[in-house]
Amino acid sequence: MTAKPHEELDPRIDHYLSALRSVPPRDPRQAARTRARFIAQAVSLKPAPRHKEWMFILFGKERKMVQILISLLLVLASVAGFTGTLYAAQDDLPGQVLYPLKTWSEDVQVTLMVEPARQVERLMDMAQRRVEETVTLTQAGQIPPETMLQRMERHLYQAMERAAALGDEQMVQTLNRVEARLRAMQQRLASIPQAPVRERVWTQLEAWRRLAEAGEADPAWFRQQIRERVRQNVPVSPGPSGPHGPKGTPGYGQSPVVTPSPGPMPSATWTPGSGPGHHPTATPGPMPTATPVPGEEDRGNP
Amino acid sequence: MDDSSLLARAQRLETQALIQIYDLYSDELYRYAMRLGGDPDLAEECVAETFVRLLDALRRGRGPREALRAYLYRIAHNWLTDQFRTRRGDISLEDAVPLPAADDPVAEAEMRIRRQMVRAALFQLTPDQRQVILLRYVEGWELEEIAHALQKPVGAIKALQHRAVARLRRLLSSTENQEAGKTPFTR
Repeated sequence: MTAKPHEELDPRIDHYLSALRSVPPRDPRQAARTRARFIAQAVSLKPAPRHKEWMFILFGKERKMVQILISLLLVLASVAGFTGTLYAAQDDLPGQVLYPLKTWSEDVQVTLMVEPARQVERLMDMAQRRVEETVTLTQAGQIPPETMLQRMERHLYQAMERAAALGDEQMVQTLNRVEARLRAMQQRLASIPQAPVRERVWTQLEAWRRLAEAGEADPAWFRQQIRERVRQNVPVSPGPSGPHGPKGTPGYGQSPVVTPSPGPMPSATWTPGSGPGHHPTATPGPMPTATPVPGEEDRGNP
Repeated sequence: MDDSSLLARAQRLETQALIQIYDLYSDELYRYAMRLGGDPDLAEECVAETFVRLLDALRRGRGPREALRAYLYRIAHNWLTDQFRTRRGDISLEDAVPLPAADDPVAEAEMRIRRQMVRAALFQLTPDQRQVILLRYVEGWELEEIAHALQKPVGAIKALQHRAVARLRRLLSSTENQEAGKTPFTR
């Protein structure tokens, strides 16, 4: 015991307090009992179960871990929620709440693909969806919105553009598949009653089908045609345009019939002998009106 | 002894470290309790209870991270304060040990009277004032360590000490005045 603090204390008080400094010795037996009791408790000591009280978890030492866990759960819930919404959006039709999300997710999927051949397939899937939507809406007595038809046009144009980037052999194979799919879409359209929109879509598909067919016969010519269209600043953006669908320039969609021009394009009015020596056979399919409006090809672009 | 490494081991509930802590501090805690209460049984109970509370805190992942001695004295002091508050009538401030066969029995008797008087005065102080007086002037602690025990800044301890000494002086003076024929206790 140091005596130093006492020096600063009133001697009279220190006189009283000094009486407390001497303490009788501790009883060794009693001390040994207390010690034995302590050792027994120390040996059997187990950590208390943690995370028992919510307040302790939220405000105790584990707070950081809990915060991380909660953040992870929130992120997972957000991802799961978004994925669920995205999934639900796939059945929506034009005019419905989640339809913009559906088209946006389609565009994102195409953007994320690296190989042009796979992009072509995906774009044809998307065109197929537009045809299905056209069929569903028409059967329901509704008129498909113009933006949807423009979007289909854009899918087909982009598919052709990606196909033109392929090597000759792969391009021919791809165009062959494209043509087959366009034909299937035309057949699907045949299932709905005759209506102006049916004619219009069928004619669009037919024009692209003929272009694909001509491309199979002459890949170099096909590429030239696509390059021409790019040079002419065709109002179709090559990438996704966000969840609200295409934002075409004014006039886009007003010439829905795809009639690649000028020159020897296999438009609906193309006749054998007028092309570069190729004679693709126009197959009108199930629709009787394979011939578009006269003079359509003079518009220069879709 | 390095308290921090001992405490780190104690936090991991290493039995040897816990026993080491007990052996290191139990005797002085006993003396502290004896000085304040004068009762060996109460002092043993105080030691036992202080270490039980330490074990409980460690078990729950809490307990001291530093200043182990100050922590133990705080527990002991609080426990004693509670005991005196709740068992006021049962606890005597007189020494509960038999008078030893001292060389000077008169001096020993006077010492006992002084102890009883000063304990009575101490128990009229606030618990913090009482602890400051005991730790500073009986145990001889530095202000910094007392600050740890009372969980207050050193400046607050100085102020507390000043007030405690002044009040203790008044109390003892008053007690002396009540003793017939004694000189008033004045500075």
